[in-house]
Order: sequence, then C-alpha cells, then structure tokens
Amino acid sequence: MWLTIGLFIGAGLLALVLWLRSRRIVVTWYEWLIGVVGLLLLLFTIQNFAASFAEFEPIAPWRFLLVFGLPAIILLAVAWLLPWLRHRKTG
Amino acid sequence: MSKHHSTISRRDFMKLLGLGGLGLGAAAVSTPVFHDLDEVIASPQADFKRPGWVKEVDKPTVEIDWGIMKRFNYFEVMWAGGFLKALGKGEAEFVVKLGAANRDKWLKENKPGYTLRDAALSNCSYGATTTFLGPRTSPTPQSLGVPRWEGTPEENARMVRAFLKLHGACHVGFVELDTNTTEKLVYSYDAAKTLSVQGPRLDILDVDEPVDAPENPVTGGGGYRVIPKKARWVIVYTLLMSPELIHRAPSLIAGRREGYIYDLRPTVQGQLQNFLRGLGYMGLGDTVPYAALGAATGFAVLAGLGETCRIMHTITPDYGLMQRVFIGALTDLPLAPGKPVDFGVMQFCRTCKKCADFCPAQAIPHDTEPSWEIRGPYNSQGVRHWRRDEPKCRAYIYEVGSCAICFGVCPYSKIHKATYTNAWQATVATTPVFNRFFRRMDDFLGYGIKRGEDIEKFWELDLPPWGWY
Repeated sequence: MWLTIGLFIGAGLLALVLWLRSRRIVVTWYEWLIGVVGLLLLLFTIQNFAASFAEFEPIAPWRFLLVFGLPAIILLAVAWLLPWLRHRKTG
Repeated sequence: MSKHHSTISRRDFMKLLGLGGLGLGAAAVSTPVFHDLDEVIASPQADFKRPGWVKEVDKPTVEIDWGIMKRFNYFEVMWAGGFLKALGKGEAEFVVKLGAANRDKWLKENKPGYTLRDAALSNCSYGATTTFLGPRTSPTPQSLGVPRWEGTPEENARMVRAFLKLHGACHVGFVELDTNTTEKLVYSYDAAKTLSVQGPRLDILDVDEPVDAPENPVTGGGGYRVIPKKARWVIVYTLLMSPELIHRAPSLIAGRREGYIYDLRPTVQGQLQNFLRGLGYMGLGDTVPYAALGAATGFAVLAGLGETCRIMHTITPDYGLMQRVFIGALTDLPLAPGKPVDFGVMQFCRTCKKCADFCPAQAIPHDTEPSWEIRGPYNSQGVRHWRRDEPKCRAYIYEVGSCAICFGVCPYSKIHKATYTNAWQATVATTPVFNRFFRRMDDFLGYGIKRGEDIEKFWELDLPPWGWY
C-alpha cells in the first residue's frame, strides 16, 4: 500500500515540477521545505486518522485531524501561497 | 506542442515507468520461502525482532540488589494465602461476599459488562492441567534409539523460540540461573493446586533427576519439589491478551483477558515440556495456570522481553501491558541467555503515573521515584520498585469481579496501527524531555478504557482470531 502511495506521490511531485517549469514559476528551497513538511504531516495525519478507526478509538481520529491535520493544511497553504504571490507580483 | 494541455516528454514518461518497476521488483524479492523446519530455525522469523529504538543493556533499568533478595514464598501472593493474611478472615470473607452480591445484582440489572452473556464468557474456563514434570507422553530419543539433540546454545534458543511462536507465544526469551543472583527469582515455595493451601517447598539440589512430591495429592500442598542444579536455563514467554478485552475494564468481559490465556497456557506449557523431553532434556513447569514457580516478570526483564513498570508487570515495546508473562520451563537444554533492554519505560513511568491516577482503589503509588521499601510479606525484597497496595487492589478486584484498569489506561498498551504510537515511543526511548507532553497527549487523544454502552459493543466487533491484532 505504501509503495502505491509512494509511487503516486512521486508521480504527482514530478508532474508538479514539470508544470512549474512550464509556467516558469520559481519556488525557493525553503518553500519546497515547507511544502514537504506539510505533505509529510498530512500523510501522518491521514495514516493516524484511518488507523485510529481501525483501533476502534472513537476520539483519537478527530483529535489527530485537529493537532496534526490543521498545521499540515496551513503549511501546504503557505508553501502554495508564497510562490503564487511572488509569481503574480512579477507577472 | 499543443497549446490546450500540458504534455510530458517521452524521456520523463520512461523515467516514471522505470521507477515504478523498480519498486514492484523490490517488493517481489523480499518475500521469504521455506522448505523445511531447519530453514524456519535459520530464518529471521526465529530471531527476536524488536523495534529499532529498543536498546540492549548490561543491567536492567530496574535496580536489583541480589545481596538482600531472598527467594519468595508464593503463598504470600494475594491469589494464594496473602489476601486472607492481610485482611483477616472476617474482612476477607466480607469482601468476597460483597463481590458475589455485586455480580448477582448487576447481572439482574443487565449492567454493561455484567450481563448474562458477559457472565457466560467469564465462567467458561476449562483449562488443561499443568504439572511440574510435564505430561511425559512424547517419546524420548532413548526410546527411539537415537542420541539426544545436541546444538549450540544459540541454535537451541532459536529452536525453542521458533517452537513456542508456532504454538502461540509472542515474545520468547531465556535466562541462565546463577546461584547468587538469578536463582533467587525461583520461588522458595511453589503454588499448590488449591491456592489457599501452602504449596510444596522448591529445593534446588545437585541431583540428576527432578522430584515432584507434594504431601497432599488432592490439594497439591505441602511436601517438596526438587529442581536439579543442572536445570540452569529458564524459558520465559508471553501470550497476548486481546486489547478489546483489556480496554473494557472493569467488567466480566475484561476479566476474560487473562481467563482465556490461563486456559491456553497449560496447553503451551505441556507442549513445550513434551518437546524438550522429545529432544532428551527435562522441562520443569508450573503447576497452576497462573505464574508461580518463579518471578515471571523478573525473568522477562532479564531476558530482554521488556521493562518492568509502575504496576510491577512487564511492558513490551510492541504490546505494552497487553500480554501475560509465563515461565515456560526450567530446563537443562543449554540456551543463549538474553540481555535486558531499555526503551525508556521506567523513566516514562516516573512522569506518567496514568495508572495511579485512574486506579479506583488508589492502590498504585504516585511516588515519582521507586523505592527499596516493601509494603508487606507479599513483596519481594531487593528490587527498587513502586509497590502496589496489594490487599487494596485484590479487594477491589473481588468487589467488581475483575479490574486491571491500569493495563488499559497505560499509554504503552496500544495496537501500534497508528504511526503516532511508534513516533512517541521512539522519542521517549531516546529522551525523557517530552515525557510529560506525551502523557498529556495520551489523555487529549482520548486513549484509555471504554465506558458505558461501549463495553457491550465488544459483542459486535469483527475480531481477528484470538482477538489479537
């Protein structure tokens, strides 16, 4: 399962890089870092959310969404927003 | 190139295909194939696998003073004569009657955890008997006209581990007995079949053959047993308890967590004793389904199965408190002993105290540091530990039919499907700095025991075999 997820993520990242290149959008190293951390946190959240249901835990899944999912969304939004704003500014 | 949709170059497409094929190929070659039992013994499956954050250490994380330790009389434990001794006849009888009255009342009230089907679950035990010398029904090498099995201690350890895991054990370890140290973990008096009677004395003597001579053949009390000095190796193992039972304490459903394991244990022990006999060696075992003969937790810690903890049981890296620890046998088959491990448990227990907070009887101490002091004759000297108020604990168990809330609320008692569990345990094994934070996270995430109607939802679960995940 994780192999499949890894393949999809790898393919998705490659597609993203190719798309950014085609649009000539520049992403700095720290924006990549924020994005990768956000993605890892999102994967962590999804895994723990699903696994907590498999463990028959009624409260933990939702608390995982709050504690790890929310920061993941924020980091991914920041990683997306910074290059987009810079690209808009430079036209 | 088209203006209407983005395209990928042929080069990049082939790159993607290649990466995918590499991944699938790696998955295919990693699948093991066995042709016979020798390959099983030689395989990594006979290894003692542990998570990467578990370190082997030279000394256990619990301090032991072998100089003051004495061999312990099993009759002092709460399940034998200790409860009556601590409370006195009148109060002990009152507690037992109160427990029976509670169960009767709750059965008629259909209280979750005490309904008719829960009582039927609790009362269904039908275990095989266990004996000191073993069933002795397997043929010996002598009777088969061949020499006995000879292997190196390392080969023997892998063989016994593979055997026990095949027969249901989860963790398997070995301890070598030393007169001045580990031999003191063998009890001075064993359990009798009738627990309320003093069991046989356990003598360790320089003789060739073991002897089983209780005075009363009906109760199994009195008399003596002889363990030959050459039976230098202790086999210790665990049987898993279902987390779905553990997390429903206190209730009759929860009580089945050890009940069904105590039913399984005699079968596993008998099989092990027969296996050792078939190899040409002795296997001296317990005579009750529970843990008598010796301090199973002590042997488990020294063998490296896990660490001990605030409630004086064994916490393993992968199942926390969700297993029972047993001495499989004392044997003269040479076995490579294990080493104690450290994965931060004793240090975490200093901060966590969740079991103490949730204990309804308040029988678990809240002290941060363990102590050398003992509370009563039901404790063994020579271990720096947190000592439970055993009579209080046992009285509460009688009152509600079954407890072990401490097992269920312990942060280590997790199934390990959620990677968060591995993440925090790996962190705690490395540094104690975040221990308080992780205790609070355990509370915040709602981990602990089930309450109310959730208890009866046990009967709607799609459980795996044995309730083991």
